[in-house]
Amino acid sequence: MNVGGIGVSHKRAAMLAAIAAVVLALGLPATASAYTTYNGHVLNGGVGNYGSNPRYYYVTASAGYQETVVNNAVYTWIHTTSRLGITTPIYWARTYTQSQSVMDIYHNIYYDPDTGIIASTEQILNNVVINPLATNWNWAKIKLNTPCFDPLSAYNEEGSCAHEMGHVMGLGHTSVTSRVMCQLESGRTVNACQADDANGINYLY
Amino acid sequence: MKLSGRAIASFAGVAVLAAAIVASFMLLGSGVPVQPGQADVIAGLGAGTIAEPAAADGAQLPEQILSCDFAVVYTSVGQLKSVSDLVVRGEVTDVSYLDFNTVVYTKLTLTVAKCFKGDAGVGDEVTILEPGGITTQAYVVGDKFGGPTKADTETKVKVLVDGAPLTQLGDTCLFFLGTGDISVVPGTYYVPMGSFQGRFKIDNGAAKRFVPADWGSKYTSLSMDESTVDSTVAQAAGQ
Repeated sequence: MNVGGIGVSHKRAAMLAAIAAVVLALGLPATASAYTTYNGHVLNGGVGNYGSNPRYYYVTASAGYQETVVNNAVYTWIHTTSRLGITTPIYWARTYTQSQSVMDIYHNIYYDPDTGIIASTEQILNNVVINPLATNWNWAKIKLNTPCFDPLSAYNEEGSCAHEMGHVMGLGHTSVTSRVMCQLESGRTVNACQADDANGINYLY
Repeated sequence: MKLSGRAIASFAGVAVLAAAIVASFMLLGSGVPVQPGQADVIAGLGAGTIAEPAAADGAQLPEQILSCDFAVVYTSVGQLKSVSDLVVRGEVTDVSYLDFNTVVYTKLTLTVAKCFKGDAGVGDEVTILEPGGITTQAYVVGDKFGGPTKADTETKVKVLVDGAPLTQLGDTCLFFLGTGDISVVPGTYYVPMGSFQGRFKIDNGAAKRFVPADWGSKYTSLSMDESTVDSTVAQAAGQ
């Protein structure tokens, strides 16, 4: 009977372990993959090949004052290995020749402050702004809307730039606040790409 | 009747002058955008207005989607009302489109049927500018790759903010509005709070707003039965 008793005890332990596993699994989504894509569509030509072939971005004259913010945001997307332990192919370099760029950054008065629009990204294929859910794109414009962008803290300015760059590379929104692809209005708490955002890039490229 | 040489010369001069005036207006209305990087100073009325039959809504035009990041989300009628300068229900009686600093707006005239907050009377006409609208391909190209081609300036496109449909002539809407202050057009105008967040289309017995697919559960359409719109808005906190 003791043996049987031990057997029952093992069964109970196994059942508890199974329940624990289920509970754990149900709890996982908060930390598991949260990134979204535009139906898997991407920036044609990729996001570079780290250490060798860069893609280029261009800071227009209108965005000159945001140069540091833009460069910092780019840096956080590139250097994920040391920061997050995740290596991606991302490799951006700045160009001063706009025609070479596949990510142009503008900063201007576009929309009234009450519209709440901080920035927008236009993904473009053959000079047509496309629906990224339907097709890939060749290049993109990021437009920082000064009435809403400039009042942001430096932290959130950088986060918003990084967020728009995620769109350029093919990431959509997530409602998980600890991801850079969460919108600021939805409570984004970070200002740089996180492991899950980087995993999204590795899924796409 | 025989015209003298002087009369013929005068007539020709008037004709040339008229042609020049007409040509000037045509150029103003060509929809060529302000070039990016050159428009750090507001350019007043933007770069032109596109004459588009309002009722058409460009339904056949390709949709171009802007992925936007917002500073604020409004999750209740009370919240919207509290931040608005003007809250009105009415019918859209005029629609046109204009470019401003390389973005496009839809310019609406709303004839007010009911005002819940702010200074507007029944029958008053309110000018509303909504981000997104119909423009030409030229606005996309900007100053890259040598600027837009003739074909770009002739190709019309429909630009949607996060996919939000454009308001159309004849729509009945409830708007939560803020006063525009970047001089997109001369005079007083309003913008929907949070862009499409502050616009409710009243249709098929319900009033509801657009919900982007990827905004999560915190943001909803705030759908109201048409018969309860007035009482819901009137009673909402934020008067």
